[in-house]
Amino acid sequence: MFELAVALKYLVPRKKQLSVSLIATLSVAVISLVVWLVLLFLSVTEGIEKNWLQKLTAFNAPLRINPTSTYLNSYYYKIDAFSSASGFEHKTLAQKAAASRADPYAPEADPELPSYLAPKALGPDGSLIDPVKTAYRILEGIPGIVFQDYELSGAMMKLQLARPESGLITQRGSDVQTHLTQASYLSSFSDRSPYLLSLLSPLKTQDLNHLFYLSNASPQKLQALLDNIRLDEVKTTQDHWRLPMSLLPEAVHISAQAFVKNGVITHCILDEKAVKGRGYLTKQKGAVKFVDASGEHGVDPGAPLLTQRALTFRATPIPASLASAKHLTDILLKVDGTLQGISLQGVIRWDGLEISQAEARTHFAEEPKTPPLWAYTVGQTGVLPQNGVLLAKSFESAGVGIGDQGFLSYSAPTISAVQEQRLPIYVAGFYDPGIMAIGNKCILLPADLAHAVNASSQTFTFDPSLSNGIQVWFRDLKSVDAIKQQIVEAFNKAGIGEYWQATSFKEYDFSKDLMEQFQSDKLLFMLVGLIILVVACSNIISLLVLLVNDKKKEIGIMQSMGASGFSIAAIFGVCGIAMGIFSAALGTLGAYLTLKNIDSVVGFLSFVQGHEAFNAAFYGKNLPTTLSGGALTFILIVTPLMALIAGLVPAIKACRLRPSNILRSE
Amino acid sequence: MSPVLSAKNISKSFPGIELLNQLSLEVAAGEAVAIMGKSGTGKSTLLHILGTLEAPSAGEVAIAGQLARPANTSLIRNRHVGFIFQAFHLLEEETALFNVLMPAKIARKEKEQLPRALELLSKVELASRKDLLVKHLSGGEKQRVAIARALCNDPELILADEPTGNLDHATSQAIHALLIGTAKKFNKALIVVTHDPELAALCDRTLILKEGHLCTS
Repeated sequence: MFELAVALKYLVPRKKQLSVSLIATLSVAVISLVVWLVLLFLSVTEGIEKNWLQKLTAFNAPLRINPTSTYLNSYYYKIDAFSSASGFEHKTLAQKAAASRADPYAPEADPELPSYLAPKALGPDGSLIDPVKTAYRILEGIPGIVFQDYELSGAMMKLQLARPESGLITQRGSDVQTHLTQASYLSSFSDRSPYLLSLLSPLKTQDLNHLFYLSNASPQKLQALLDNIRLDEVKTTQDHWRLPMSLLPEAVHISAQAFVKNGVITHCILDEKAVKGRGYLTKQKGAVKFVDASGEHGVDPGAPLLTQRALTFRATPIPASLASAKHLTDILLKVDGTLQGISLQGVIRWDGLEISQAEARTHFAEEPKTPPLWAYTVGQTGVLPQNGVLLAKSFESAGVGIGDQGFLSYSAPTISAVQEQRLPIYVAGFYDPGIMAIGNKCILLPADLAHAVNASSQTFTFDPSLSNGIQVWFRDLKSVDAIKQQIVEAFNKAGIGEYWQATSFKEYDFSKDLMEQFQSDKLLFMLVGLIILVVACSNIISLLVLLVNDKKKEIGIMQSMGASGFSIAAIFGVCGIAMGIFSAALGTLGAYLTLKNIDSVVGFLSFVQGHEAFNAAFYGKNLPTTLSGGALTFILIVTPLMALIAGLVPAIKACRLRPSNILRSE
Repeated sequence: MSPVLSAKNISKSFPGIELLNQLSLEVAAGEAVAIMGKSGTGKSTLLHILGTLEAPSAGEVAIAGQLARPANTSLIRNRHVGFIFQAFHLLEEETALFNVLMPAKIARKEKEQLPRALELLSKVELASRKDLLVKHLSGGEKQRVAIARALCNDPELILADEPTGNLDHATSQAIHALLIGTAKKFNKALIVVTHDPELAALCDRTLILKEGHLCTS
């Protein structure tokens, strides 16, 4: 195409067109910079929003179905309080779903019903409408969704934080103890949620060490730990660790210092690296000797050989020692390490050692014989160990560790008084609650514990329409409105619509404002980006006006050869678009590379600022690293369009030039 | 046989000056017409009007049977008119071949016209210099490139504005011969604006532009 060929020729920088080339380069640089900035910001904000949404919907489900006041005032719900078969207690949704009869009332045995009780709502077949079972049946028939009932409650959580005074996890008994008390929301752990476990913080070696410390005197717990971890490496917890003499190989020289009192070696300190001219330890036929310039000195088998620095060993527990182990120090480890380049191998007790590398099992194909002490999955189902609870990760930062024990305290009425009830719990893991306002105060615990507290607690009273409901999960969050619509229509068709209220994550009270704010922020920045882009593209006008003046003679020549006004305008229009596309491509490439190296960028920003640039509690551990599709579409449409509009002004100027005047003046 | 160029009652006036006054001209295919006159009498303006580069104040121009209107002047110039200028008006940073092909590129017939462009360059004895940048050619060579360019789209009318005004005598004579010879050979209507009596003498007719009118010499 003639116009394209000429336009591209004009855009190639040439020595003779220095000013045009400079302005062109500047224009491209400015537009690319704006494109880079807009893409980067929108990609990061969209990524963060997506991240938050994932956490929000993993924790709370993207759709919730709660009973309405019609349900709570219905005969169906109220009748349990008058029925001996129901223990004269209202039932939760789960209990209603599992109940054998919708109407448990027995007129001959149960007390007379009060007059204010709502009448029975009967179906076409004359039987009592069962809104729970009907709802469950409908939900089971919808493909691609997972649902489960949930229960909310509240209690005071009290945790005892025991830490080793000496720093040695193998020495239990000299603990430093502190306590933590927190008024908390309790939420039943949704074991069917496909995404909840993605919020769990992975187990760290520090967690495992803490669990070993807390389990030191409990053979069952030690067993549960050792059965569910693969121990790879241990390290000494102190610099001056007592090296068992059995680890010293025969007939090698280990550089050391001997300390003598009354002519007897009391202890030796083994150098980190071999030191020339220093004395050394050597083992011959099981006897350890210290040799220096003054001669050979026997080392008493009881004299400690202390390491100067911490050592690490590849370690494997000896299975025979595990069965009978009552304390951590009863466990024998087959270790393999080096000191001064000399291999140290042998079997030692787990004393003065802690884990430096191990892998904890969190996924099982079938229920493990010895369940681990942390949250795990069996197939697709999440499992919390007995009395195990999950706390928000902020507790972890506050010093709480996995394994810390405590109880949930709540008050329950008895015949004579209101008494404090305590449910023992321990910390089985930490989860990331995302940005939920109450997230940090929300404890996830087994459903039976949540129900036990809810049924008898007077500490907290919740709106019954919110404290019990059904959570619905599905993969594509964009389909939330369609799924909600489908459920509502199916409920209405089945005649149970008035008993239920479906709420999508967009409508959750605790996240609605934030989501709306996010949308506003994005829109605002897109607007700002658009304005900056317009300003940047206005550079193209200056450039092309300059180019038109520079190419006046060529324009005249082309017109005399028959080039139409449209062709001339097209040349400069193409120049504008080409610059827009090139700048957009350059900016996009820059944004892509920046996102791929976002950690380095954040590190640099943090270094410049002198503090963390992005708070992990708010933005997540890692910033998003992928380009936003929406932002890319926005940029790839808007930039060339702006550039085209900017190119139109000089294009019109060019096509209105009179060839006769140009050629005559030349 | 209808004339290639038919200009009727052409007038051109600028504020305070009436340059051309009710002027008419017809040129047939294969006919060479020289237009002479003193400087400032409007020869170049007349040539531009005849080539549809400029609109007359009154009157009409028809080329190859097509009446020039604002909507079709580009097309007429591209298909039916070839221009040769005193200042050559070539793209200096491009090759001789690129320049010759320029009208074909505008007509989107570059590939079809390439053999013809090469033939024309050969005819003006520049075949060996086709790939040289125009800025490296001599004045005479540039004008020969301009002649080849004017003939590229095989137009019926060639308009030359003082084609040898910038050249020395010997080169001028060669260009005269080439211009008239080529026009005759390809049966083109040729209008030359010139001060050079030698060139005028080679044409079939010589017209003098005086006080806005064309008169025979």
